[in-house]
Amino acid sequence: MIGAGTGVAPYRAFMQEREARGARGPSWLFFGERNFRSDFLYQVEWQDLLKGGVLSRLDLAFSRDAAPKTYVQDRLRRQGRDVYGWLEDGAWLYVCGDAANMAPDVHRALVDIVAEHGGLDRDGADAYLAELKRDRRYRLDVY
Amino acid sequence: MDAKTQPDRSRDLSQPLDQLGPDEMLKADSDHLRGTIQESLVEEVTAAVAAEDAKLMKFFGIYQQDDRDIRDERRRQKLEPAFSFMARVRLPGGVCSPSQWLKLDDLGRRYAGETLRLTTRQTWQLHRVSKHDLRTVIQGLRDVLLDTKAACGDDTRGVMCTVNPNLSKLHGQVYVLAKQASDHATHKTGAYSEIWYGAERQHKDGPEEPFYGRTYLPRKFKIGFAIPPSNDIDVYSQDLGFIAIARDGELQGFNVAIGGGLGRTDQAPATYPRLGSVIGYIEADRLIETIDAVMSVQRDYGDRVDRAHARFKYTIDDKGLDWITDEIERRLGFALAPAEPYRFTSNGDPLGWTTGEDGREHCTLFIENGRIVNTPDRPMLDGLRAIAEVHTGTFRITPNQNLIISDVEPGERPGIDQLLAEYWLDEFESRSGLRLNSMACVALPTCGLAMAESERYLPDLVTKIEGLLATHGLEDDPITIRMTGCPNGCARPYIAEIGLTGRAPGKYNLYLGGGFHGQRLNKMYLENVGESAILEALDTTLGHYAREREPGERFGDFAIRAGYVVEVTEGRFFND
Repeated sequence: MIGAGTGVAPYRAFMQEREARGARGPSWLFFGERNFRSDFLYQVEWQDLLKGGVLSRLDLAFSRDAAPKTYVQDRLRRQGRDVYGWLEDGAWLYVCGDAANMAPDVHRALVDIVAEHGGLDRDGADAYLAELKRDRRYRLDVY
Repeated sequence: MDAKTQPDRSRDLSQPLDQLGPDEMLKADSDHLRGTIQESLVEEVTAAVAAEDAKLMKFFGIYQQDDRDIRDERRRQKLEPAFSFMARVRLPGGVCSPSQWLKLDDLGRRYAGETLRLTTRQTWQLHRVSKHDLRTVIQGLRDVLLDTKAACGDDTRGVMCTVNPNLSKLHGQVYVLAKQASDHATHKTGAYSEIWYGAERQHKDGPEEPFYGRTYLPRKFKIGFAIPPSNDIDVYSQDLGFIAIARDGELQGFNVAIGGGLGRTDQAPATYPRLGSVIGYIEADRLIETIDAVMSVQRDYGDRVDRAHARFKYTIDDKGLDWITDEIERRLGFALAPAEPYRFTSNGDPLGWTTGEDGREHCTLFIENGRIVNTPDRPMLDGLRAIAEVHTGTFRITPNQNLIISDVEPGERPGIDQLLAEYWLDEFESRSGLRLNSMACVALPTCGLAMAESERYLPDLVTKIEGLLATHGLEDDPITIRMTGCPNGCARPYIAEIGLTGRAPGKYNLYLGGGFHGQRLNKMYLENVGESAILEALDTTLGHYAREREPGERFGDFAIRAGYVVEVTEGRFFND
């Protein structure tokens, strides 16, 4: 689950559903906003979900708290090896939020990650992600 | 208790850890205070640290706090409380150099909300420091040879020392010993430099904490040095107080006072403030071994089951003063000499310029409640920075949260005077005797213990009381007034002539009858009352005092003579 700003909203529902169903598989959220102090949307809920094991991992990017600015795609790249590992293990990938910048930047990061850790060239990485999309395992809700 | 009888050991260090309070296990299992602080500091999901680490970090002078003004708002927003940290510097005797001042100014501006706070134990507190800035701040302090070791926690707190600038030579002699005492009694764990400076762990041959062991002390332990006739440090409020005895201006030794402590809990009659008991006299060269002997008695016999009953004062009252004194003497290997005569006259600060016996000059500035901040009509932070940039002497933070620009060469004084005028810092003459002797703790919004306002409210209340003083012609009479936001006593309210401790928003207990120079506890006069009842009571008692006081009689003494409260002769009778 990758979301910036209000793009985090559907994941809250995902979590609530998974908690209600008692889903056992691991889950991982990348969330980005401007300031940790004021913009960590639903902070307390994510903390509780982590503590309860409903959410397995949480990576955060607050762009205005540190120089240089860090965004979700930067955190994604930093965790590239594990992200690729999850995809290989059958993970479903969701991207939600800004369509103009965030989604294309995240896509570029994913291409690089797949290329680097999957030992593919650029075309190979594009094809890998296209196949994920075809299998409905890489889904976007961007606006 | 007779010296030959074995005391009750069912609640002290001799018992297995699982028979003691949970904090004892936490300390013992913390690997000499390391805990998981390193992990907590880099955890990104929260601005807080793990609860156990928050307790351990107190030993490094750091308290986790949150902005209580916006707690509810943030809860509605599903945000955690606005956590930040308070870092308290270890500054024995309150003495610092201009370069240290400038560093604190810089850290305060950059990382701590553009403010500095002077405390009632003669040091700085930096508030509102974020978790991610803590290492930067502590490494910044190291640049000027300062640290935050043991400024909180179950160990010896910051060591105090009378600031008296007139007795230059004696102050110099006692200050050196106070600093030595602090360096000696502070914990030695390598955790501090590993966590805060990023140092590699050193493997030592001997024990990491030769004195403290794995469980440190049962509770905080406060040491202070008073130089008569000033009792500015409130020596009777210290767990271990030393009263300097001089002959012809030369330090000879100290009277030793043990078992002071002001914290108590409302509606818990077994808790009470207690003034220290003078048990004898030591030569100055016996100081360090005396500290070890006294502290080790508390380490070994203090209550480790109930933290509300763990201060040294309760150990003394439980075992008996004579038994404790015998045990101290047994550990010292010699008997204390009888106490030498001494006389205190005040616990306040004389403000303005004064000349020391060495000819250097000292200017005490009034800093209301110790808060140093730039306001439009009083750019105090800027002013003190400007002074620190040219000053060649030292600064001394007083136990009344004021500041002395100290050791000014006579030729340098005009320059300092000019800066004081330029930044409106020279108003020390134009305040009432009450305001000059007022003291408040921080309380809301950052202190987690506060039940009512203190620092943000006392100045307004004092203004209202000044109206009453003017009516009764008492504007210039020094009267001590101290307020805290809870019963814990950080501003030493139980030895003020007028004491106020917070019970709930806008509600306070009012205490009267404290000794003007800290020699007697006060007594509760009104419980859980609001401002109008406080002002009404003070109008009556101050009016009565103005009409019927005897020459030289202090307000606290009068409140007892006139029967408003009964005299508290010992701490354990405070709640009677």
